[in-house]
Amino acid sequence: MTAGPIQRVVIVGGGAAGWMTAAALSTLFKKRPLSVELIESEQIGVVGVGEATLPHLRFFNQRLGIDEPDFMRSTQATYKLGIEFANWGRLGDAYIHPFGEFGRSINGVAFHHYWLRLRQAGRERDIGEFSLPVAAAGKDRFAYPDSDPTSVLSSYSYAYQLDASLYARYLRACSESRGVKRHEGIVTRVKQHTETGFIESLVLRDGREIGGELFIDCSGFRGLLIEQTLAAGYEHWRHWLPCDRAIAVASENVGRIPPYTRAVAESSGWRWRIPLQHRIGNGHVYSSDHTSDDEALRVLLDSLDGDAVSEPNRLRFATGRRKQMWLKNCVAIGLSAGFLEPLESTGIHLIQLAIMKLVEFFPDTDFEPLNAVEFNRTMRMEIERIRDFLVLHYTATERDDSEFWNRCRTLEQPESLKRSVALFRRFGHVMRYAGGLFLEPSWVAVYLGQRLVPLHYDPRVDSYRLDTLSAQLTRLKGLIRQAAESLPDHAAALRHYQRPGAAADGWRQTAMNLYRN
Amino acid sequence: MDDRQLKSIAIIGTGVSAWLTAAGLAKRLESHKVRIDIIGPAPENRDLLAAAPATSAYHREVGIDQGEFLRETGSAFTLGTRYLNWTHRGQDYIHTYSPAGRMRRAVGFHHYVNLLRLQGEDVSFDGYSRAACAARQRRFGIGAQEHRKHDPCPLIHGFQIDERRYCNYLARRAGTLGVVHTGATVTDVVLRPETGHIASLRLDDGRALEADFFFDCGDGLSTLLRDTLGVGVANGSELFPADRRATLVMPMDDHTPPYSTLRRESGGWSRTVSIPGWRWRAYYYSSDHIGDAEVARTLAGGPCAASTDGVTFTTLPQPGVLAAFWRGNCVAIGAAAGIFGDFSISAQHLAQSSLLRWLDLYPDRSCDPVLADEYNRLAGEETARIRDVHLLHFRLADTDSAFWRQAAAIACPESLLYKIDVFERTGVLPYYESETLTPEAWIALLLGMGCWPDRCDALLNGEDPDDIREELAKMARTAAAEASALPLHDTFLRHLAAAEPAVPPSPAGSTEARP
Ligand SMILES: Cc1cc2nc3c(=O)[nH]c(=O)nc-3n(C[C@H](O)[C@H](O)[C@H](O)COP(=O)(O)OP(=O)(O)OC[C@H]3O[C@@H](n4cnc5c(N)ncnc54)[C@H](O)[C@@H]3O)c2cc1C
Ligand SMILES: Cc1cc2nc3c(=O)[nH]c(=O)nc-3n(C[C@H](O)[C@H](O)[C@H](O)COP(=O)(O)OP(=O)(O)OC[C@H]3O[C@@H](n4cnc5c(N)ncnc54)[C@H](O)[C@@H]3O)c2cc1C
Repeated sequence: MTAGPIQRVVIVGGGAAGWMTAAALSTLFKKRPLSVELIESEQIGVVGVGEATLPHLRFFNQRLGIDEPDFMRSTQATYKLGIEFANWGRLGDAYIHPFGEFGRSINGVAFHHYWLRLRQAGRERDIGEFSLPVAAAGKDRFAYPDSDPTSVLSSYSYAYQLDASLYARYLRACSESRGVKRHEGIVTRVKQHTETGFIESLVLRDGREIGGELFIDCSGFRGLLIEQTLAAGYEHWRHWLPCDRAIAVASENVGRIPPYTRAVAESSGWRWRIPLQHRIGNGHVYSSDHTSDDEALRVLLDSLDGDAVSEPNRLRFATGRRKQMWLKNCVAIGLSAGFLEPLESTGIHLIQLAIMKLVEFFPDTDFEPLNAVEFNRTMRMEIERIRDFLVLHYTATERDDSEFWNRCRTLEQPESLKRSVALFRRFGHVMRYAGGLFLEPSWVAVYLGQRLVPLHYDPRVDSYRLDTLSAQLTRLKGLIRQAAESLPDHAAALRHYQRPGAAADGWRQTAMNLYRN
Repeated sequence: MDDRQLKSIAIIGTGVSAWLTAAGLAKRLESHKVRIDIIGPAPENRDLLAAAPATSAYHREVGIDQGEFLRETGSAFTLGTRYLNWTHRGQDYIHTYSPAGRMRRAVGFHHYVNLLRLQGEDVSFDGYSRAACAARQRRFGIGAQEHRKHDPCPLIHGFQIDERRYCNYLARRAGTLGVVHTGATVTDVVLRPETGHIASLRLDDGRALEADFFFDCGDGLSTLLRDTLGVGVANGSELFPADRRATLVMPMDDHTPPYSTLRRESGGWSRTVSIPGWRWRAYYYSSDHIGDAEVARTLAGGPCAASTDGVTFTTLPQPGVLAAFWRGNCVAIGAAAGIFGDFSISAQHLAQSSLLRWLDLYPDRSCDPVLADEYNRLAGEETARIRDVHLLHFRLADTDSAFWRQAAAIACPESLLYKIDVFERTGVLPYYESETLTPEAWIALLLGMGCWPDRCDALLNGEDPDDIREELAKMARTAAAEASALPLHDTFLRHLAAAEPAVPPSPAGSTEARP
């Protein structure tokens, strides 16, 4: 068999993963003869959650040539500057993990070391005061970041809070206009090559048979192709990420629309609250070892600001990763590839990452095995780093008010996380890596936000007079507060940026970066 | 007053690693009242160094003004390394620090060139690069900062440096910043009984030198760490096939090439570095495969060279790498940390990145092992990746002589074999943590070594090859024309020396605040 270009791709699943993949392949490969077909079943449905995103999604949309105002109107999206975590370190605590850095390093020493000294001296309390997105979020303000790198108004990035089902619908329209063919139906049988086990075609309940060369499994948790057919295996992480169920419900939008997501720790899990234009997305993620479904629902309903406007959507999941995301001629993208907690909104991001890597390693008909090997190696590294960061949220806590928190507080962290924590706990040093999503500002936000305060700051900080440092930080704080106050209200910004003909206004190229535009 | 802070640091050694450390520490610790001593007899080296672009970043970090550095050391620029004879006799390509070219943002440039190659065309990867064209024409120029920002393929450069003048310059800077140099040697070490850390060094002039922290920057594997603090050595002799080096410094009346050269020779390889008026050549070889006399003749100009006066020979130290680079209150930097051949990535480059890593972790007087562990983890990764770069040369070079057959037989680590394999078969470069080379630099090196992928990026499928051919041809013409418009390297250097304003200011410091 001589290798040639792949001409037929079949995607199973019409959730966010399926339609993001379809839209990307049909756009990026528009110059080559490539048919993309997608099978989905209304009867099975989609998980339909996944509303908070990361700044990287803007990069994805831009590569697809999506116009931001149009996209925001169509998905009822709002802007997101970060996530507020409440009750995590202790009951009553709250901090924001922003899309931006804290202060600026001074003479080669990271800002948080100076802040730590002033904190020890009782002169500073909240490092969030040194982050523009935190200050803006606290006042419900938003504007696009400034392009002048010397301005404090350039020191952040932003993402969206959106209706995932509308986003999937939006991408479906975009995909279909670019030639993607959609089949409604349930896949009941998978035909494989008798020797190689490669997938050859999918048979639907009504007998239709759809053949292809490359199959993308976006069938959600069940992993119809990657697991039920190819048995790639699953590595469970419940001993690190203890939650296994969720209930989601939408509620009426009442009052202000904050430009951030909330994650409120409860006694057996946590709750999300994601404000969209037309409603609020709410959910309760919990551990079935520690609470009942009814109790979890009650906690969720009691917390709603407005009336519920949807039926509760109950979900079960197993945290972990598919051992091989790419096996033979099948690539798993989305929930079929594994699931980490929704805590830091990384679901859609990992979908995007897998798509980008699939394009990079796009195989020919000979399916060179090293494409899969390197794809799997790099995806695994990304996922494990995100995992460590999520586990930190559960373990950096003083809470002892429930069985759930006792378990979290005392669970054995992954070795890699233990090293990171030890380094910060003693010296305030954040472990560095080149690859990976969450970098120093994120780790600092969560460590300090959850009371993991270092024993020592960098000794060089002691060379400066306390009063001099204090005056300088006070000035910086004032500058950030003023800058934040100069921004428009989030609701006004939404109206302004989405007004007809606003496309060019502030619409900038973005980088694949959490903290800077 | 708090007494966690280091109050005194002693540096052992007076080579380039030691002075880089001294000047760097002195500047970065300027406001922290740390006493810095440097111990060792004045150095007597006459090597020329080829320093990678990261040197500019280092200079910025430690407050060295680029213009002053160039004037005071008489250094020249380098746009990259010229590789000669590596995969076949007569092969000639330039591995530039600048990107080889750029087409559209989502697809790596090498895929475009590879597309033509896969269609049977004879391509050379450095043919589209302004930097490579400028280098061949011995031209050089850097524009003002603003222009460079919008330039898709800016000229990225390192330096060709006279080691002795560089050391003297760094020593003067260090001296101005209060570093005290003692021309003595260390005879004994005294430990603190409670911690096992080093308390003081006894010197041959009878004095004892106390310090809170010690940098071993000597020219052999650190005896402080090995003998005094009990660190082991991972042997590396099997990874490095040369045991001798011959050098020759020659006057040069030709234009100064803005590149250094790495040339495969029959019994080893040679490196050539130039500054105005002088050319320095070193031949690294194995005494099993070639004799000193033949090496000397090669250096002096060929088999019928009239005279081999001036060639000096040294036996290279036994290669090896320390099992830990920081233990207790002592760090080894440069050759003291590991000897595995000053090959394509120099010891001086490693010294710079080691010092910056140490400054990043910056210990207090307790010297907690948590920091040392992290330092060792990162330094270990960095060393392993540099070894990959070196071994790549042995792996892929032609094997037309006994020396090169032996070199090709050196066992490569899995990390390198995997990298080569994946690149060849998928066109994508696996990239690890703590790499010194950028992905682009790796790719250019692999291609230069004849390792072309079997396939192109899938995004090029459907592009018209004629369009790509035309675009690339245009790029090659533009690169050559733009290079011709640059001044000669020597002219540029003369301007720099004469008129200060011609020196582009080193990019306006950092964006950092200052208390
Ligand atoms: C509680 C929770 C909260 C989350 N919050 C966030 C968040 O805030 N931010 C974020 O980025 N991500 C979040 N995620 C993750 C995010 O929801 C998912 O990554 C995203 O929705 C993608 O899902 P999917 O497309 O992989 O699967 P699904 O949405 O489950 O889609 C599966 C598709 O496969 C089809 N299908 C399955 N079997 C068959 C069959 N046999 N025949 C035909 N079709 C079939 C279904 O019809 C459906 O179309 C969250 C996830 C959960 C569980
Ligand atoms: C032999 C050789 C060939 C190279 N060839 C190329 C090439 O062809 N193309 C190319 O783009 N790059 C090349 N490099 C790499 C280049 O010199 C730099 O190491 C690299 O660009 C630095 O990357 P960075 O600043 O983005 O990030 P990092 O390496 O992560 O460094 C971050 C910062 O740390 C500092 N730093 C790190 N290491 C050092 C060091 N050794 N010295 C001083 N400061 C340091 C700098 O301030 C730097 O900005 C080569 C390096 C060597 C040694």
